[in-house]
Amino acid sequence: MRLIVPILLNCILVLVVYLLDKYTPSKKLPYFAKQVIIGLCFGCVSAFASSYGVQWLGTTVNVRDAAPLCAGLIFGAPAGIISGFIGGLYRWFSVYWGGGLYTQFACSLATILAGFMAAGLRKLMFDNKKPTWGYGICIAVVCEVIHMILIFLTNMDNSSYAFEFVKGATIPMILGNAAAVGIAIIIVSLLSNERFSRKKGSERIANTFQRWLLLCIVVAYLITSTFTFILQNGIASIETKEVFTSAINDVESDVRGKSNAQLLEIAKKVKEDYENDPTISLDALLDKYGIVEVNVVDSDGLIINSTELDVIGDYNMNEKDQSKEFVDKLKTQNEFVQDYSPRGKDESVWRKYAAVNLTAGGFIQVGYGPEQFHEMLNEFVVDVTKNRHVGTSGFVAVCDEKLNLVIDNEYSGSHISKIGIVPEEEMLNGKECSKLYNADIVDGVNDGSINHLYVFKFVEGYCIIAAMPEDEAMFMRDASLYTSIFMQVLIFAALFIFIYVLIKRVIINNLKKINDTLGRITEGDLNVVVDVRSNEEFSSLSDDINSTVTTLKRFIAEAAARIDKELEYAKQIQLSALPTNFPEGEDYKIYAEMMAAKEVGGDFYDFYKLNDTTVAFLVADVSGKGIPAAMFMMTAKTIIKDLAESGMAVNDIFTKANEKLCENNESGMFVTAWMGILDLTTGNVQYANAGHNPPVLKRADGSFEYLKTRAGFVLAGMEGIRYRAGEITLNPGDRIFLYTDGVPEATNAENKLYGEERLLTFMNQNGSMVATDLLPALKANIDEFVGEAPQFDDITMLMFDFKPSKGDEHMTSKVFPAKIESLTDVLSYVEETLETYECPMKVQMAVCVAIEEVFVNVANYAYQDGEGHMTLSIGFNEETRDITFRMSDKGVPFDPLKKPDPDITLSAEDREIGGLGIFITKKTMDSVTYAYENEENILTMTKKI
Amino acid sequence: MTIEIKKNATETIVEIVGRLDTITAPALDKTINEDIGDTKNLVLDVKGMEYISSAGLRVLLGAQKKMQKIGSMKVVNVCEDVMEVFEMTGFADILVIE
Repeated sequence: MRLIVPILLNCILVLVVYLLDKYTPSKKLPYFAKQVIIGLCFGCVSAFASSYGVQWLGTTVNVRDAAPLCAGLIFGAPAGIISGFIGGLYRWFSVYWGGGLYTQFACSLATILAGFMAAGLRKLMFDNKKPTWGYGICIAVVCEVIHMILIFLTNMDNSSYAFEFVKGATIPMILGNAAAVGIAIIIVSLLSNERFSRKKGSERIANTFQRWLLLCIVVAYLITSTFTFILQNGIASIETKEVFTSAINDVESDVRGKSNAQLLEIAKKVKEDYENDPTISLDALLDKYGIVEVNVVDSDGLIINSTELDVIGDYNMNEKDQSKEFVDKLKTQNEFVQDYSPRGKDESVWRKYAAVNLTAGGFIQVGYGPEQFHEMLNEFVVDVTKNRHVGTSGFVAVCDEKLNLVIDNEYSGSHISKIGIVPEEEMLNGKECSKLYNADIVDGVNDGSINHLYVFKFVEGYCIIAAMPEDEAMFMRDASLYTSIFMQVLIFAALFIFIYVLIKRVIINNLKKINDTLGRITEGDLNVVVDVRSNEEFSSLSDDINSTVTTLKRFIAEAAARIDKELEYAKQIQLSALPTNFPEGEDYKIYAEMMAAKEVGGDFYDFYKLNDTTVAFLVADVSGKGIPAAMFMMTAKTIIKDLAESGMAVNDIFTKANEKLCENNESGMFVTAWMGILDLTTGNVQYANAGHNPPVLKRADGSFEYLKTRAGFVLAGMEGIRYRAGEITLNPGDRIFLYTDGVPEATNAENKLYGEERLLTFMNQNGSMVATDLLPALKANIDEFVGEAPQFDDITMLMFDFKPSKGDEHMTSKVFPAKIESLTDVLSYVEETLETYECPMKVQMAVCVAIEEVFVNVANYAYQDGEGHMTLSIGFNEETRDITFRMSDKGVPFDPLKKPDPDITLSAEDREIGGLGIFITKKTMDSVTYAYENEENILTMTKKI
Repeated sequence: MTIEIKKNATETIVEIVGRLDTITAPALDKTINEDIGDTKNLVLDVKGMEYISSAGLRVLLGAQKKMQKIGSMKVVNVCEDVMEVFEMTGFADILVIE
């Protein structure tokens, strides 16, 4: 009962440590710090349990080993070892304040071992996890068994005392420690919501194996233990019997020797008397020697004279076995003493006879009756048994035929039941003792009785009893039984651990390794190699898996090669669909290149003359890659060409193409495209942009710049899109460079894009090259930038040259449709130009407002039929930092400057809506002039920046 | 240009961000004439408006005319560049600018 306190304390500590670890910031402590703290705590509990136990044979029965076991098994190996050492050292020094010296070494060592055992098993068997409660209990039991064996081993010189201690302490200590560890583990399992019931479905090999191995080991243990018990029990009985027999035989031979000698002496004296005087009265001899019978037998065995009158001349000694023995014996020897036995003539009478041969032939026989016999021997018997010991505390007692004790103490003459021996049937009938009997024999020193084993033997009318306390008799048996059962526990536990770890190493770990590798293969890494070579079976398994993977890889590679080949064909077909007869006429030149990436892509370019004076050219990019993209490209190309050749406007071509491409576009592909249709006579280009990169435009006298207009939505992206046409007028010598996103999005190894800026810079530096040189040079530049990185996307480039001729050398010009919708383009153009002159934002805004006002005027009023253009030329004088804007249109002549200024002082009600635009223009610009020349309205404005 | 309308208990706030030019002005005109409903107090928040041309001015003038008949209109958060245009054209005197 006293042991419950430390068991509870241990459980509470487990609970507290577990909760602290799980629910408080202590989680963040480094692993070893935590282990040390836990180790110290459990060490203290171990020390406490050490003192708080039950006193037993000068030392304490306790549950000290539970704490290191708990610490080690539940919380971690270092904690177990630390607390084991603390508990062990405490136990070692506890002898100075009352701990048992007797088991000092064994107990200290056992506790330290408990710590190591918990640590080792946790690492070795449980993958550094907490074991289940069943294993916890088993480990605690094994640990205590080791403890007991250590007590045995360290006290070999006083094994009976050690055995006494072990016998008493084993059960409570094993139960106590096992309970403490088991309960602790159950508590933690409950807290961590582990299910006790076995999981359904497949189970880990390790678990199945562990359970069956445990079962086998337990069964084997029980069988060997039972066998050992039976064997030791048998050996112990035999040994005890031998001890008894030798004691009894000693006494027997003493008694028989004494009685034989005495009677023979008498027989010789009687013979002497008889031979001296053959007529002597035999009856006189009876009195003289204290005997009861004298017979004179002739050489034939006939009794010729006797004190028993009825046998004279009537009884032949050969008649009965008892008397015949004398006749037979005395033929070869001179004298013979027979054991105390029933008389031949009358078996109800017991006699002891001795006979001596007569000189004249025949022999003379004398006999004792029981009274004379025992009278003579009792004293001797007492002497013989007095100091005789059987074993250490066993004894030999003798009683007479009536089972009254022949002894020299207070029990002398008493019936043996007085000392506690209740005669069994065999004894009452004077038969031979066939087994070991039990009796509670009175203890002479203490009041009470001690359970003895005894045997008996009837000799010469006496019953010799040899007895020994059962404890003593069975000491050796129990000692060897305990030792062997303990050793078996150890051996089987070691066997279990060994086989388990072996199987784990040889099979389970290898299986796991193979599984992990297979997992990686399944995830797609076909280059992983299974390499488990620890034994032949796994080697062959590894080889099989590897060859399977290799075969698989080969098939995949073959399939890939086939697809590559098909893609190559597709690429060829795709390329052959692109026009390569580049026109080099006087009016225009076109040159294009397409560099497909490894896979078939969806880029294409196209150009064709629609009639004598118009030529169409475009660049497009189908989303995605591969065969679908290539097929979609072919479709798109054909549709656009068909529509273009039907004479539609460029925006209508896109609008219509979009509708057609949207039909049955299940795969959700789309196309970006830029298409221009040039009127060779005017240089006017109508263009449309469906989500495509802005072309780069070079005016004959200017630099390259992006033709950035608001792009429409991609083709085939959504039904019902309407595309707008843009318009520029090319002057002789202007070039338009079209490209796909493969150019600006070419990516190098550092994931940097080639970019529009780099493209523009390259174009400005090399813009004077002829297209057939320029495009390869650009490709080379891109390749240089990309470096080792693979070409990810198709690269398509198309250069359109409008035949050169001299133009205005001082100003850059741009033609805009005279429509409100073009306003954004106009303003973008102005802003871009101003930015190149580093114009301040404030001025830029003012200029934009002025340009807007003029342009809106032109757009609204210049062309009565609504169709027309405005040309905006911008010049910059670097010395004066004056910008000149020249806006010309071919509309009705109109001088906006003539219109009177509005009255800006009027109130809101009176102010007219209108007239403000030109007013603002005049206010913000430095100078504004109007001229009408060559049927053109020309408005010139300057502004200093 | 983006236009956002916010209403609270007493006034309707129209936030204008971007360029108010010939192309975008009709959108604001539509907002003021149709979308804001019959509010009495209109506030034009032009904090994000960096550009205005005569078309924009015309819309503002129209709005001012409309609102001063039924309630009030004010223009808030006018940036410097736009303020210059307002001053140049006399709109600084017509509009209630805060």
